[in-house]
Amino acid sequence: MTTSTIERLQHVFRDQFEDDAISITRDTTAADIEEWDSVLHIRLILAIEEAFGIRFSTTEVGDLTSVGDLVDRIDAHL
Amino acid sequence: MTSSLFWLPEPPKDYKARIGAVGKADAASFDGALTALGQYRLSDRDAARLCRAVAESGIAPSFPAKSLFVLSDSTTDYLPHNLTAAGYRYGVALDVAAAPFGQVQLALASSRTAIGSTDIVLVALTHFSFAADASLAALDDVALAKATEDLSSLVDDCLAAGAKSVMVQTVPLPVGGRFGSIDRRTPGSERWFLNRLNENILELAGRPGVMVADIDALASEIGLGNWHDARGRGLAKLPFDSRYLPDYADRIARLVGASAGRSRKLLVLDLDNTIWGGVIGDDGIDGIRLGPDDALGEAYLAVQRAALALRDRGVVLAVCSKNDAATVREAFDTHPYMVLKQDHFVEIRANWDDKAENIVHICEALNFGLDAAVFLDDNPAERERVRESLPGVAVLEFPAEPAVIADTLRCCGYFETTSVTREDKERAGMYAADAERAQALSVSRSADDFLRGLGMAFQIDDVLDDRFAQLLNKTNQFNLTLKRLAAGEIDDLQRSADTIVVGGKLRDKFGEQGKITAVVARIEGDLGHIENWTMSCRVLGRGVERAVLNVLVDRARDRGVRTLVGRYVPGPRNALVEDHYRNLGFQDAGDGTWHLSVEAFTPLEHFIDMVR
Repeated sequence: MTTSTIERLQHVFRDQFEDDAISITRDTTAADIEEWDSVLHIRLILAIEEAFGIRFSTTEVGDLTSVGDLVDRIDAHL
Repeated sequence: MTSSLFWLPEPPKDYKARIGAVGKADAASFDGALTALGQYRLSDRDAARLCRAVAESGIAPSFPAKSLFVLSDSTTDYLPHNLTAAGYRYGVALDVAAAPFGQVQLALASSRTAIGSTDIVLVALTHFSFAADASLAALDDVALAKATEDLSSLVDDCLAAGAKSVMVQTVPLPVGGRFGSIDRRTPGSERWFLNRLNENILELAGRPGVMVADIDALASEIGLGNWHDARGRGLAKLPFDSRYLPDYADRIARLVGASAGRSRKLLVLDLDNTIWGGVIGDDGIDGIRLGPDDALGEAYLAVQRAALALRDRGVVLAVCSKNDAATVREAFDTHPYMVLKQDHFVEIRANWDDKAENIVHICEALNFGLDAAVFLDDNPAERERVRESLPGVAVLEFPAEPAVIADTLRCCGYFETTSVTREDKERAGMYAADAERAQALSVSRSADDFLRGLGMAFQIDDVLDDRFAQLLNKTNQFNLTLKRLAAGEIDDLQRSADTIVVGGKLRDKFGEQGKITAVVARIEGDLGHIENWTMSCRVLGRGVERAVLNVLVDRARDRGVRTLVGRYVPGPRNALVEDHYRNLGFQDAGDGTWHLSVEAFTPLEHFIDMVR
């Protein structure tokens, strides 16, 4: 069984926010995680790209606000 | 994120755990632990974790602490931890702060207070600060003169605000251009403008307190197409592709380390499959791969040339190899394509002993700390052994591709320097002479034979010049009374009728040592009070003091002195000469002074030719 996108994403989140207790759902947004500011957002995007071996376009990045958006865009690239 | 710091190893699997352990290190082993943790190809995340672990440990490394303030036209949020972690690699503790990014002159104006107390202001400009409008006049020679002048006054303003130094970076060129191949020679094009601006920035480095970090060179090595990240620029005003944050931080940190005197000075080389192909013990001197006959031989020629190029600029070379010493020496002497010769190395330790122990010996013989050494070895087990047991030593990652071993030596940042002096170029030779002397000692049957074999000549030189004053005032170890002379007092000695001075130069078969000793005595009736006796530690154990005493007694006798009176005043570093007068035959007078009868004195034996 392969790991689902959201599970892999959770791993990236925990790594980036240095918090192993973080649990994400499709509805999670920046408002739910205190450290998720604009600086970390970019870092998160870059880390996701590296982890999944993909690259979002400028247009896509502008639309990525929730975990659900991220999962959908990642899956579209895979 | 991947960087191109290929001469650093990937962090080991347990790197997180190792970072966690740094907080449990005691203060004594903290520096070593931190240096070791810095010697990996750290990702942005690794760097962040390392910095946090250090902050949480509550221990401060004893590295030189440097505050660095960044003035940038781009986002700086991702810089501080990368810079600090890279700083540990180069033996400095960097405390990084940044002005909010924007136009740097404005940033300076709003940050004067912070800049006033900072060690280094980093002026980090990109070509976006020189964005052209569509007209060629926006980047013509008038614009160039103005940009240069603005940058120059920015540097002056930083220094005037109280910054101890300013580091300006050269500006990487953008991708593409306006005209194509003629861009570079057409005023108004970015390529023309930025190339000239970079030349002008490099000239700033001639000013006191100004360093230039050649980020343009870094971006070129990485490739401009990789370096630039137009998307990141748009999204977050990033100065360059974030994959190269570790590379950027490394370039800045190595220069900071060099400016703090932390550059490494010694390159220790393994031999088999490191500076030649093959195993000399198995393949024989004729069988090793070195020379223009094949690609592998070429690769190793390049390694040797790279090592020799480092030596030429003052890096000391040594060999540490599990090999038969005689075979190795014969190979250096006889192999037709050997670029490196025996006398390029201060030490050739070819034996079967533990390499970590050998490296310790090499450093001790040179009086270097382990943090001065860089080690290159193809054998991963040996690298691991040295990493584990000598965390201060920088162990280079060894590439799988032999053709790029030379690049490892050329690209690693450990030998960074802020300037090149003539002395730098000659240094490796001076250490080589020291090592030859040490070697002569170790092969001699006895110390006397060794001293006799040195062919020493002492030339009396009583000129009271700056060097004489320096010996009296700057010598810390071989210094009997630690009495320093003020500038005027040296002149008084010159004129005074009641002083005796002895100074002199030493040379031996390996070279000149220059003026190495200074003795001053004051005559009072029939007593000769030895005010001070100093000697350079370079000539310790050569019997120079015995020869000097013979001269001193002769002169004292001529002046009617019947007793020489010496004193030893203990200080923090002169325990070495505690028994100086006892060893020379003076009697303990019981009142803290030592007496020597001039009449009863028989000249002491030594192995030095006395030249007048």
